[in-house]
Amino acid sequence: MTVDEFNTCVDMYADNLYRFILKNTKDTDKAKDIVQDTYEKLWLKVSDVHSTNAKSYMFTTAYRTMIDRFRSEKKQERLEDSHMYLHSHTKSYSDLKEILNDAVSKLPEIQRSVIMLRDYEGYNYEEIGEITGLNESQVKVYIFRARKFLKNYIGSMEAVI
Amino acid sequence: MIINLNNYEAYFLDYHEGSLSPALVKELMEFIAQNPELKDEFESFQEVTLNDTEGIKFSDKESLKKSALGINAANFEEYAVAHVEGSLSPLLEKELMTFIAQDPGYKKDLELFSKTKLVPDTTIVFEHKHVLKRNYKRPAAFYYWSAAASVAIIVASYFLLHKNATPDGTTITKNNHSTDSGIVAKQPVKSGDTGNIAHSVVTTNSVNTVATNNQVAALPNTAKNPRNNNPAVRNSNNSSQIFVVRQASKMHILPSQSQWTLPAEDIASGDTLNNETKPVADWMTKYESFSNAEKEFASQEPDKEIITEKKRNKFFYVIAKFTCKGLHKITGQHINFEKRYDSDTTNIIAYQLDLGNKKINFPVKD
Repeated sequence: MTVDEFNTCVDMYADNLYRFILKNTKDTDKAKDIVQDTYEKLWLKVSDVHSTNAKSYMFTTAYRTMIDRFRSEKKQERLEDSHMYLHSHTKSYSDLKEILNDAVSKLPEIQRSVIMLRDYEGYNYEEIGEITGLNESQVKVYIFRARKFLKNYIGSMEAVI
Repeated sequence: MIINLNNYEAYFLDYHEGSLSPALVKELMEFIAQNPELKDEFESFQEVTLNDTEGIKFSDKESLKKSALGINAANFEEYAVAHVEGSLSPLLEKELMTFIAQDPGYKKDLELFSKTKLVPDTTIVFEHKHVLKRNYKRPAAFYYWSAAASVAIIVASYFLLHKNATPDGTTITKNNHSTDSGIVAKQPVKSGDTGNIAHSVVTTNSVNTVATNNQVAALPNTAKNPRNNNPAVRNSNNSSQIFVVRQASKMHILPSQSQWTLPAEDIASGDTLNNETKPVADWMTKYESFSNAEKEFASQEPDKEIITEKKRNKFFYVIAKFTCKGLHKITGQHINFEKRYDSDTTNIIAYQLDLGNKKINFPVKD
């Protein structure tokens, strides 16, 4: 990858990467830090990584960096599947987008990551598996569980609204 | 007897499974009769046989069966998610639509599943991309012009190296009136035809001075040269004639003024030069002494010329070398300027411009 291609990667993927990390960490400083970390790592491998693989490389690196930080800080909330019945409905929502954002934030980390990679970035199951270190079946299962959770959450919120 | 205390368990098992031959069964019975303490163990094998599975049945076989459509209440969510994921074939999409049409509740569920599709929030952007980018600027047109200029310098250096590289340090002759010493006399020119004179530096009337470069030996009318504030020939309105003496590049301090001094009356006076009848040939003849004197001077000090030549070569080599380094830095291309030596004499035989895939040699003249 040339310097020009590297800088093009900054223009093309920095926002996507930032959104992905921010949605997971819910911390702008941490998200910026991880994005910078990721590009630093890419720069160190700039001669090895081809521009066509750069996006996948960065998401993999960013995801793993994020997981490492979660583990080291031990602050990540370990949610189990389908906690919808524990949610309090005190928050008011103005539209579906807000409900969905709230629902996504309540997903277990792994489910949130795979569904965001799927919907935001359009990765297929195999690519998501490579990024997250899961096999294709696991990815499908997590996406299924995530959608089921979101569907139930949205359904319950719409009923409240 | 092949049955003994070390292997009797295997025969017990085979007996209960019915795989012993009649001869072995007879032998086994004889062995048990001889070892009555093993009779209880032999009989306990019978209790191990599992034959009580008759009453165990799966009671909900119907729930496992597939409907004619393939989509049912149990697997609806899988199909709904696959629909959102876009991984259903057209045939299954059609089946799903048929299924939900039968029950409005499933239709509502499918709508909710469709709403789980996340859409990226494009208002969230990373605002510090410049921090991530590397400090590299694509060479602007300026750099390419710089590169071109540098190449021009190299080429010019080559010509400068060789243009004046004759052994005597001189010179260029431009017309029929040149002499071996490199002094050139231009044809007398009428006023108004001063294109070659307009920027000439003017000597004074003093006859023992030789100025560098373009020289006007004498002139009838002088004016201030706008470039150097020296008196210079201007385009006057009178009909004066002038003579121009050019020397290629340097001033020589001649050994003796007496050897080349001109008669003052011939050049100092504008009136003399205004004489239209005075041929140029006569004027040049009077400068023979000057020419000869300079030749003699040059022959007396050849080492100085050689040293000067070497210094000049070295100077231009350094300039070219640095230019190439600059070009290499700007363009990132392999560009180098090197000396090439004769393997026997170790003298420099050429300067080589190395462009990576092409090498250009500039031979050094002997």
